[in-house]
Amino acid sequence: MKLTRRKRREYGDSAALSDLAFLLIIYFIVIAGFNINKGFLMNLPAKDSTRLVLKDDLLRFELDSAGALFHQGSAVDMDTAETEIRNLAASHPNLAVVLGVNPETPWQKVVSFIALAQRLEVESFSFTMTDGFTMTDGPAGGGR
Amino acid sequence: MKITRNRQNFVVPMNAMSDVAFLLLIFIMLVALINYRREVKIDYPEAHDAKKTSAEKNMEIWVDSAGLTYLDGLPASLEAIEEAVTDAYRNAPGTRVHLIADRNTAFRRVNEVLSVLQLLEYRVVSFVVKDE
Repeated sequence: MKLTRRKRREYGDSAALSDLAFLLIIYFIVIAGFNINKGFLMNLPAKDSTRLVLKDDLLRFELDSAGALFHQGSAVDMDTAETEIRNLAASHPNLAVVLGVNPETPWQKVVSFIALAQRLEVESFSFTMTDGFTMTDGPAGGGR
Repeated sequence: MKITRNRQNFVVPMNAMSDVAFLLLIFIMLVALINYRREVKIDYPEAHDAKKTSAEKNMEIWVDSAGLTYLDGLPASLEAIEEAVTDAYRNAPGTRVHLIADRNTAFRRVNEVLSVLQLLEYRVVSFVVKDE
């Protein structure tokens, strides 16, 4: 009779498998991080609400259908707008910046201006479609 | 006479390690499934200094470049969005509404959604961007 001897299985076989599993874990953890939204918080005003602003404290910009920025009728770039807001904010603590947006303006242009207003910490910023809707970000709300 | 003993090579058993790894993997996959998020194919607007705006409960309203609206990744009319926002606000007033619009979407399309939110007196809205 031939006696067979059981061979002991080696432990090292599954080492690569655990490496693979840990790589998958890292992948899923990274993917889970993609679900976080980043952006800007803004306050919606009540419908038909109005806010009184002194004429001197008001700085108005316009965005046309192509997304070009205008101030007092002339085209300006974002850097000029930034300088303008900074200069006026220094002398007018209650500065209110209003952005008039053409209905066809690409959303990116509006977002860029919102980002600028948030970066400059404008106390009162609002944007409005030329039809009349107003969106504000002021000290009263929880935005920013 | 010196007696030497044959020492066996020490092997670290890795089998248990792979078991732990796979259990962790299953756990993380399940969590990922719970957090599953439907995405609409859009070009995100880009901006500097974007802040994290996700809250504990979130609702996502998407507007694609053609102006079509989606609620949490599924096509939805403005009326459906209005209903969903009302329900969400009733059940969990702290629900954060995220507006995710394509960078090329005409402002009037975004404005339509904002008008609905304004009508419902929904106060804080997050405009989602891709951090540059």
